[in-house]
Amino acid sequence: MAPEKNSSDLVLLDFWVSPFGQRVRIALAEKSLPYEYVEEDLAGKSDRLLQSNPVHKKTPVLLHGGKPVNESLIIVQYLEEAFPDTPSLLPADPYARAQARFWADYVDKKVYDCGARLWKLKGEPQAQARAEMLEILKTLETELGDKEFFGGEHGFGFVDAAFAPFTSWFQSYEKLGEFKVAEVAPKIAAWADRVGKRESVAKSLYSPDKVYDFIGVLKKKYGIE
Amino acid sequence: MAEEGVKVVGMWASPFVARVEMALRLKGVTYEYLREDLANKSEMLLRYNPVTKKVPVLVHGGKPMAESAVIVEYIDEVWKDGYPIMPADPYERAQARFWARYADEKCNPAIYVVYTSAIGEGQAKLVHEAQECLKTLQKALEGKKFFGGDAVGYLDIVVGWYARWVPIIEELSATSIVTLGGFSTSVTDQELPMIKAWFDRILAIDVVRETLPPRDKLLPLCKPDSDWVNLGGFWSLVAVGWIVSVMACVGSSNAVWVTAMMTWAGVHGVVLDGGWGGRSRVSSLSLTTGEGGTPLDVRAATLVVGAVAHRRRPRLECCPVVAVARAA
Repeated sequence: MAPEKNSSDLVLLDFWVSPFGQRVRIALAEKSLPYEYVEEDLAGKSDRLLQSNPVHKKTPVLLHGGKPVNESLIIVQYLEEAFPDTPSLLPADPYARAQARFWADYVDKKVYDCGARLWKLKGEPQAQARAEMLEILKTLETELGDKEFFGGEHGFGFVDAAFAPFTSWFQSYEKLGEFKVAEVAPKIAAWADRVGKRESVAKSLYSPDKVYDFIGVLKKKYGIE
Repeated sequence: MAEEGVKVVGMWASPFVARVEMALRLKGVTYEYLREDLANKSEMLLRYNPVTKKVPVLVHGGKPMAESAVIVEYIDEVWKDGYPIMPADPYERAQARFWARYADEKCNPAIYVVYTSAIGEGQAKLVHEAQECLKTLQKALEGKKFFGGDAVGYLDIVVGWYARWVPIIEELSATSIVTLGGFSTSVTDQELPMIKAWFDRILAIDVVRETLPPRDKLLPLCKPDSDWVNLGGFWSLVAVGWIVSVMACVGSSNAVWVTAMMTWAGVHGVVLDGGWGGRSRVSSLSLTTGEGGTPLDVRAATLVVGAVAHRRRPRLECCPVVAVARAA
């Protein structure tokens, strides 16, 4: 087996409030992997970012020995496979892994975009986004069930890492959509409290107030009242 | 023992189902194929995949799973001593997953927009965008016979269906995306020789040819046969889970008809009042999608909605028009 790369070769190009970048930070923390964190200015992207992700020009980008890996969930799976002797987020059983990938993909496709429509839109389209957000939360609630984490027997896992960053956006979604996560999906709300106390998550996320302020900045930028 | 009870719930014209069958056949796994009528979804499908209610579903030893890309990785992991689908190296695996996602999120919509485009001047830009997507994707192919290297791999399985669908789309929309042919060379004067060569190579692979729907069956399905709505296109897109939203003139007889069709097909859609001349209003609407859908890029929607309804009768201003988006 080829020797593992020196993990101090890890560089993360990221943006502070990005839930996608936070997934990677959570995974790196769960695995106790040291890395260099680089804050990117999304209004003035560095040459390194543009060269590392020429297709999408987005963060997060993980550089391992200078070689770029893009897309947050792909980066997390890469960390799993490149550092197999670290605590794993994916379970060993192929069926459980397939379930985890399915649900992480569900979170990936649904949560951010629906949330963005909550702050970008008004009137009927916003109401539709709100209805969809409630449905997403209820679907995830059904999947979580009475488990402590989405990872079930495995413990804190891939889906938890994928969804945890959005817990800091719940307060914003609640204000914009006029609902309470604790009423719509109480098990998700309880899960959010639990993961929020987990060290890897606590040190990767920003406060809900800071997220709400950030949304205010985005709204100004897009010219939305 | 691993082969016990492998079932695929599928539909013959779905490229996503083809991915799963390709993977199983490469591994030499025998499976039972359960044909699903997407216009009338079975209780079995809804039980196996309550979240997205789509095909393909793989059932192994009674345990169901959905999402073709997830299923293909599962197949590779379970039958790990068989034909290698994913690359061995973690970095190469990350690249394969990246390009698969790029293809599904960017190339698929770009290609479908060409398919539904009204024949004429507006197509050049759409064809160019589809070509740009494919040119980006072909970076993963450069210098190799297949995306997987010397042999078919994960990414070939994910995008192999382009080799069957793109030529059909070129013919029906009278465009050249990959191959300069007898079609409209006024739309583009470039072709994509690397992709074209890969099309030929991939279709020469038995497993690929066996699992992709045959051209002579697929072509008539995709052909428009209605003056008002691109019916063939409508149904083929319903079949592969693409239709999520329909916009119509509330009160027009066509709206009533299309709504009835949607209900019958079990398509969850939103009927928005576009009014007369609704085409021009689409760009200011945020097209939301029904259950299981993702927000449609409004710019792409504008092009599609105008095109589908007006394909045959360009002077008509009114609805219904169909918004096409991949249901997530």
